[in-house]
Amino acid sequence: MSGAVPPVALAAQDVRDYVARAASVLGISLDDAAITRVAEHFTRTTALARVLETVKLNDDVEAAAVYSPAPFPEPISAPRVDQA
Amino acid sequence: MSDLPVSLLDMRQALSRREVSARELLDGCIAHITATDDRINAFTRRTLERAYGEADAADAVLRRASPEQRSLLPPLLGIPYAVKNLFDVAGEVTLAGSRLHRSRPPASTDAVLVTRLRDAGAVLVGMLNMDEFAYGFTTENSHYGACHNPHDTTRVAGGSSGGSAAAIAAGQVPLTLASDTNGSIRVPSSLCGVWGLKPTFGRLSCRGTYPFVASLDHLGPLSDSVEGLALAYDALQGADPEDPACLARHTQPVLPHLAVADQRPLRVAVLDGYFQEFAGPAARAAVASAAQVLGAADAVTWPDAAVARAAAFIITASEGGALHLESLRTRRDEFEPLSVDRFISGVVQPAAWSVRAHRFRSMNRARVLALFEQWDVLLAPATPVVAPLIGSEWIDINEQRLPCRPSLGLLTQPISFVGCPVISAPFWPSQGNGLPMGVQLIAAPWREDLAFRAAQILQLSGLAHVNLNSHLIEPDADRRQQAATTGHVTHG
Repeated sequence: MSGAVPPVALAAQDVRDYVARAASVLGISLDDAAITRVAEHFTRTTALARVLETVKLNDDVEAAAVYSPAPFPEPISAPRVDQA
Repeated sequence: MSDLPVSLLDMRQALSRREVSARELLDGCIAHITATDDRINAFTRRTLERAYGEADAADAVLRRASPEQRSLLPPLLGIPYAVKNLFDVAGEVTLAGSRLHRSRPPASTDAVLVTRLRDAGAVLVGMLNMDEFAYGFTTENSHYGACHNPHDTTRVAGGSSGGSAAAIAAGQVPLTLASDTNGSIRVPSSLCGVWGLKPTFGRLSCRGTYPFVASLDHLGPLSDSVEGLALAYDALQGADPEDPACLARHTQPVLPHLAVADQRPLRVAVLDGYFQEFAGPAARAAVASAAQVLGAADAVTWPDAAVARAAAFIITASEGGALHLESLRTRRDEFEPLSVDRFISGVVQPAAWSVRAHRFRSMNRARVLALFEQWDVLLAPATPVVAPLIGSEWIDINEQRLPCRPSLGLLTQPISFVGCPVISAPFWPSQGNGLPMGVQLIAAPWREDLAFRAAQILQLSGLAHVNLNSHLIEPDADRRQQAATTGHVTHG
């Protein structure tokens, strides 16, 4: 399935700037070495986010806030609500 | 110590026949842990006082039981087990593999699943090594030391539940509990060659365990046989109204399914595409063996597997990072060096990625469920490769060089993402050069019984089994090998 166009590749300095500023907003102070290490991971995640963005999602696809993998099978002998 | 049974089924039988007491079994178990754990490092804490109390209580029940009553005794009476150290154990600090938690107060009560195993008569021996906060696939824990693979102690045990798999593979205990968010039961089960079950998402209560990613966390057992896994799984089941993520309304025992002969043949297929692209030679060979035994001639495609893996990765990074935001602000230096940067990367991710990942999950689930209208069980490797050397930064898969620590979960993440139950079956392909490789037996949500039936067939074939006979564990390996071929394994 194809859909949204993935964003263009980010420059390394842009990633470093983003990581440093986002961390600062959250109250996490990072030195240069830490910014470099985190930016490496963030770049890897960015590539995965692009994979995720290749899938077209209709607007009515909702997030599964309380996730249920499938309806739970009720036992055959369970009484129906109107019989309980 | 001599002639004490090692396997769960042998222990159960010997206890039932009063050939051995629970205290004697526990003595042997502790002696074996003491003799081996300096090489394995599976245990971070031993709960000996509690263990002897539970063993003596089990012996009292056994003494009171008449021969006729013994078949009605609690299913795991007197069986030693251990838990990943993110399970609450009353009176013990729940470390979750972290240094940060050392200063926390001890748990006041047991986790729900620990309570259920206690009610089933099992004897808690201790708590097990893991990746910090379960964020890893190798159990190279800088605070508590790496967990070593019993089949080659220079290699990783897998993670994040490395201690839970290694303890079984080393013959220390025949049963453990662990968690699996993206593969943390299946990856170490594969690399250590033991049976592991990741049940349906929402099947088992998570209350009383330290979370990693609440929307993806599962708990489950590992054991040395299919029957051991089934006995534990049935004992662990039950509704829990106090855990909003526990969706099970009643128990659905699997043991009766293993006892019934002449059941409808299983419809089994092999996952292709993504699951072959990231499978090395040993992984492909293990799946081929399983497919042959189960008569799986067809290949099917898991919908959007690469996207599902990406989405699972993104949700994990975001939720996992957010959970530790306060500590990342104030105590960052105390985190595991191998994962702290990943936590920070996750916490600064755009929210739009995580929301999209959850929305995709909803859509992907529907497409996966449709697969199971045609198939009962789907097969895939549990890990791309056999256990890498400790300290490996990279693994090579079919001429692709990938970062080792996140990539060991490539083949498990798409499956847990949609909540399907999976058993990891231990195979020993020649391409592994003596190291094991797990095969995932994947069923539709709430159909653990089908995965267990496939597991039983594979176990009966003799191809899928636990191998406790590593010469690295016991100096008298030859005797253990001989014992294993007769079906009775004993400690030396």
